[in-house]
Amino acid sequence: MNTSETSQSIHEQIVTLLPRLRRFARNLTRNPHDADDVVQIAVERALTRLDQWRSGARLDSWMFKIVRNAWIDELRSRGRRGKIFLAAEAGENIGTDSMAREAELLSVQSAMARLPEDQREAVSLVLVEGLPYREAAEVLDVPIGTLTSRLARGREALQALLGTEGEAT
Amino acid sequence: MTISDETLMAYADGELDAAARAAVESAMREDPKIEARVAAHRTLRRKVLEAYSAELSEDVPERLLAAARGVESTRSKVVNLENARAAMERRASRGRPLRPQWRTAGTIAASLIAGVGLGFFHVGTYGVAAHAKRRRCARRSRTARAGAVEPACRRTITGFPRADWRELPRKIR
Repeated sequence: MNTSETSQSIHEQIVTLLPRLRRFARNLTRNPHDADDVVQIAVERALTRLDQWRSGARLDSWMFKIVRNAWIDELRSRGRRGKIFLAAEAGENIGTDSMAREAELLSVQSAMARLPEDQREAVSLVLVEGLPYREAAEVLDVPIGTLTSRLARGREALQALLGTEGEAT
Repeated sequence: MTISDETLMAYADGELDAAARAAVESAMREDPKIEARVAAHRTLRRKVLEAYSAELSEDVPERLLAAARGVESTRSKVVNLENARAAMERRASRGRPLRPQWRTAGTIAASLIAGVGLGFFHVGTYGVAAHAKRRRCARRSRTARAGAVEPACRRTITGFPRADWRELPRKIR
């Protein structure tokens, strides 16, 4: 009885997390339909692997990691298409000067979409989802030093894009 | 004294221990440029958080809620249904006229069964079989080049799946 009560409360905890899982997935995939598909896959996976969740661990970090892994699997299965997609994105980053001129007009979301994937993930987990560095590093499976350098570069790029460098308010 | 930008960032994010925090604070007092850099980190953090806060109040699609609630809640409904059926069969096998208070009880039982039956319909739409179908669809959508869920798969979420009604008792075991 005790185990079913615990798992019931985990179901409701996951329900509570859904808005954040969707938000994180959108930042990963940059496509709301992909994001919801990935969240659904991740939730179903999580429920079959509840035994792998240590009750001392944060449920949000654990779920973010499953969402991210589901997205990585999705990109792998798309294979070549994913590569073409990334190439197009890389092309968008050419011409930093003209980008700087339109910096004021860029919304935070579109600035985020221009970040390289590793920086976008770090910014999304720490600044949007509010995870401590240690938790974010664990979600991304990288040492904490790697996380902080990605975060620092991502922030620098965002500040350049948004034109908030040196702004004091 | 020079402080790296990563340290200032970590300070703005509340990630430094007491000693490092004190060092940054004293540097901020001495150098307005350092203070401005910390302020820039804080401003960016606030802007980013604000930009994404509206997404949290959006409605979550039903299919995600159903996935999160999982099989657990639907299984208990089916158990109730089976109990109700067994009770109904026991009553029928007695085959003698019912006394008035039993008739009242029978009416209550009938409405309970009707209620559970509705629950069964609900299971057919959102429960195990539909869940399994959605899993198949999700798997298909993962392998599909377009990546999007096929229209036929979407239909299982909103439409009434007659086939699911028949296959449910077998699937649940």
